[in-house]
Amino acid sequence: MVLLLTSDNEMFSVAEDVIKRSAYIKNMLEDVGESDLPIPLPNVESNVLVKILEYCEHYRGEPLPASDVDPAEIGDRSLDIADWDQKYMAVDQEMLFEIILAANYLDIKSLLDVGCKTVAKMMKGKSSEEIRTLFNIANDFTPEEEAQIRKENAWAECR
Amino acid sequence: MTKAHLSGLPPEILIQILSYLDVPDLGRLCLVDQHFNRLFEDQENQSMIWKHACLRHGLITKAHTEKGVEPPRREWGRQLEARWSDVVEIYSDQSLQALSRSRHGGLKAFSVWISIVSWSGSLPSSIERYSPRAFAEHVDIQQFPWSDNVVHSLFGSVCVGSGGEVLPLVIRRIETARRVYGVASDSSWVRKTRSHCFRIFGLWWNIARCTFPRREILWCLPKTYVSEYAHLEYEHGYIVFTGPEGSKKSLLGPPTSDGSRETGMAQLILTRLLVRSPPEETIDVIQIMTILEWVVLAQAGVAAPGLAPSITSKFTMGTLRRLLDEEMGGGLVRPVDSRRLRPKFVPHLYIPAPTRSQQGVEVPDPTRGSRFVYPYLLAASDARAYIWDVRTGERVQVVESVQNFPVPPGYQADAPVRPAHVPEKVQHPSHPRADYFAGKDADFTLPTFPPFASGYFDENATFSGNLDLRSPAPETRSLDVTPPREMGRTHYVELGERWVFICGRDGFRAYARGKECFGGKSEKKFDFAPGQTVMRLPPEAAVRALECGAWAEGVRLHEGSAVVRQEVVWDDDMAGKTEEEANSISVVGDGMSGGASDSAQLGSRETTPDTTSEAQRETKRVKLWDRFVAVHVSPDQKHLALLLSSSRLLFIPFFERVVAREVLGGVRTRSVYLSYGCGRITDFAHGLQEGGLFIVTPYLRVSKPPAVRAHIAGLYDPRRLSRVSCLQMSDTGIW
Repeated sequence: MVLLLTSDNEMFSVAEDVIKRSAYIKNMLEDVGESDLPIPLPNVESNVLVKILEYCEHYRGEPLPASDVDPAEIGDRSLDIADWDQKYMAVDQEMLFEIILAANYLDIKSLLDVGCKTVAKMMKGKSSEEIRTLFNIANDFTPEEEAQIRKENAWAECR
Repeated sequence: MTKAHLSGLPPEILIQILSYLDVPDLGRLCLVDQHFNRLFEDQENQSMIWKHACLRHGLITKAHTEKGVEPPRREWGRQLEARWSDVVEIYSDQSLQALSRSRHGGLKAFSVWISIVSWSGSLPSSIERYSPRAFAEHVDIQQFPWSDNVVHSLFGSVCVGSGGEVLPLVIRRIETARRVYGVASDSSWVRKTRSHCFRIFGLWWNIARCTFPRREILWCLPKTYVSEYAHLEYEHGYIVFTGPEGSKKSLLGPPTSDGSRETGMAQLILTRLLVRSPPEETIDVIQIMTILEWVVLAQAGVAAPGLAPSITSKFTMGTLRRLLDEEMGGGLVRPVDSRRLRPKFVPHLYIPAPTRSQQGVEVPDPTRGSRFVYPYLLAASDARAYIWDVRTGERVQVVESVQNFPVPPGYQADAPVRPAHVPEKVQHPSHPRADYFAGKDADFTLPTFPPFASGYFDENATFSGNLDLRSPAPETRSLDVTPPREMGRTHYVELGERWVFICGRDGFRAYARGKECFGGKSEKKFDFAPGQTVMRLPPEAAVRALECGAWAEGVRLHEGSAVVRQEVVWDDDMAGKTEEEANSISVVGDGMSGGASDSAQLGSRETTPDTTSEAQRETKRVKLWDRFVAVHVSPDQKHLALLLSSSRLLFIPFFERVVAREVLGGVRTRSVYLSYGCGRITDFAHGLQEGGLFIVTPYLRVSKPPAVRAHIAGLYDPRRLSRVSCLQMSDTGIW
């Protein structure tokens, strides 16, 4: 069992083969060896870790992906997401980004992929205004700047 | 910890997210906010982002990225470095040249350019190449009698043959729901071939639409399955084409009554498998061909090799579907590398030629024209028009009695036309047919020869007004010959959301569609019974429109109407044009600013190379009813364009106003729309207008080179061209 300490000081006890999906922890375990000390995760809150562990638990026993491949370079670039992953990712935006950040920090490639795909799916085919609304982004361009960029990217508008 | 937000993600994650997006998406993302824009501005990020985009779309392969090359910016085109040589192979010269001129460089320019080129749909998903070897081995081409067959393609629009050459058709990966209109065929596509098959050529969807470095066959269908001069359309993954006849008449098409090979049309529909289909769904071309063969043979009641005899006797759609299911799920499936993507078509539906009951006997009713507007397929014989739903094969509507209008006195329409509303303004006392507008309620039946007010163009009623025309009055010419009253042989059909348009040789008509065809939506003013004739254009309307604009006068219901007639007949003798002529042309350039005044001001004029005086023109004029060749409706369903056999184009903006009998005034929309390709030599756009009716005689570049410039100067006002939002092509070589 591995002990994990979240940023809000909650302790989690996790089976080693579950958390090994995180390359970060896996490497740490290999480096440090058996230890009773908890591994501090200063970037991960407990509610996010619960979610992350749910993912790791679900994929327990599945082979770990090769660690040395850039995920952006391989695999299909399609936006197909497995059913379970889709359900798993059906969370509010804040949690979605927390999961992505945590997956990045913990180095869980498959989860990061799914997260990125989910976000990309949300963006796909939307106008910039729609994206702003969707992600609650303020338009911080001056009208001149916006006109300029719009001009440069006019090709993207014509569908 | 602050609330997690999209902009709180580190750049590398954002870039990974972007790697899943299409090129147009990326362009739009730049506009979201400063944060995103900076992400794109950064040089390193930029190359990463676009590299991913190119990879994603298969514009480059993994191998390219491994070599770590950024394409040399200036030397794109001819002098590409060796490692990009396969890119050169794949992309056309045109693409690469455009790229080399690009303001941006590198992969961004590349992907942006490609995405612009692929205007009709999404980007190609892969550049993997398909080799048609398997098919060539399978089909013994000797068994098919060879005949030259031209497949003349206008993407998704028109495909027609005229002999001797093959114009390859690129199957475009069209995934937008939008209707796709034609693209001019490029003469560089023309190549002589000794093909024994009807073929669909392709080169990497969307990428190179004008040049074919590799003229490979992506998919083909033997001659037996396709009629000569096949009409072919492609939309939403369905290919619709005409089944064969001639020697194979008994199989797919019924014998034709007059022996013409243009008749006896049956429709065969193939649907496309997804290009990105997983391996288990893919079937080999051979299987497709085999199945198709079975279908055809089974139709003929002939046992096909390998096909159980029981199937042949009664071959139904269900059987076919089951057969296909078995084929695709059974042992014949050969899993192929899913990365080797290619278009795959499987038989979807066979629509036999319709029959009609004649004295109790079902006789085939060969159709001549067909039009496919997903999901409906329209085909019209000389007497009827049929609409099918290609998804189910169900016949959703039949328009009866296409020809029987106008009718002799005493005719009662099946259902009374209900004029939805007759505006007060229409009751213009001076209008020649003011009596028709006054006191008519919603229940009157069509008069035998209705005036325009009932929704028809009334060529007789239109000429009694005070036409201030400098050209000879219409009564003095051309009208002493009785024009054809029937529509004649069906030439062309078009399907709109609300209407069925049929272009006969001697007329044009529009019919109401059934309500189910446009989702049950129906406005009150369009409350016509399905199949009701709602609009007609006799040939003399076209003649008069040409000669004096009187036709448009008929359209105009009151002064100030927006529907004006505009007529320009050009010749090659523009050098010595008179002031009047100059005026005429300049109006063309400026667009029409007014309504009635324009019409009055611009009397018709016609100059021909060999006649110089009015008198000579008088004498040399030949009475010839113009023929209708083709009709198209604009994608927004508002305007109509008709092509006449004299290469003139009639443009009816907002034609539904005519149908609805609305007041035609007040519309000042600058609806710049329409383009027309005249033959293979001069496919130039014509016909820009502003709320007016516009007739253009396209010129032939070959025969009249000097005139071309003048006309271009008149028509090709860049300001106006820039507003052309839609392109529609036809081809005089079609018929």
